Amino acid sequence: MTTVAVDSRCIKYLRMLGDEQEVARRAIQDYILRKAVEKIARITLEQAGLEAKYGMDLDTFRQRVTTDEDYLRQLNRKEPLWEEDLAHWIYLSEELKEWRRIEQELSGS
Amino acid sequence: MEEDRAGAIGELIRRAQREFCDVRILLQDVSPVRARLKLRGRWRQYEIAISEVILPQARIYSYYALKGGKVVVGFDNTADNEVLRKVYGSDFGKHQYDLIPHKHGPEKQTCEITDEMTFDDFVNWLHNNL
Repeated sequence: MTTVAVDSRCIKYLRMLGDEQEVARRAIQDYILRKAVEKIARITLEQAGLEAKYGMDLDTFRQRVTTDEDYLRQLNRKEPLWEEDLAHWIYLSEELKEWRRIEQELSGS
Repeated sequence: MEEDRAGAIGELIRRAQREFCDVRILLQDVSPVRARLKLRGRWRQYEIAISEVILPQARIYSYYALKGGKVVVGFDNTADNEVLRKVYGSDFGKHQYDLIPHKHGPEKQTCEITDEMTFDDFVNWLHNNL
């Protein structure tokens, strides 16, 4: 358990809504859930941009660049900085998994 | 942990601003376990493209110098088919997700395996070779 300092005015308002511990717990949970939903939307949008740019999903793209010599040659000509897109795509995929897990955990509690 | 990652990204931005002109940060995110940065800048007549992605299990980097949109030199550790074949030969299929530091030559026509690079290594390389 971690203690968080809260402004005394907020404590007064929390008490107006019920048991301050419970109301504060729910408020924090709702805030995190809302942030998780926002994060998921933002990540999904960025991923969709990469999928549109390369015309495939992340797994297919990784497969193509590591196994398909002709595709790689064309890609290096057309998108010479594709490596940085791939790195950020991997980052987004890991972030999405984590935020979805958080969303599920909090939605179920 | 988050402070370390935020500090590393912040330091990289400061160094980039010291070394390059017209530095633009395109992406910057830090979480307790991951961080990323994508920036652009200019050094002499070259366009500079820097990317760092820090994951719990790996650091994926990409440092490129371009001229007129064409690659002059690029260092990264994302293994592609050419790099995997160089390192593992016909056995490359088992190592698809390995990170292998390498260097691309002009217009990515050449490729050679290198040691792992840092931002400072890249800047030194620019000063010594371009």
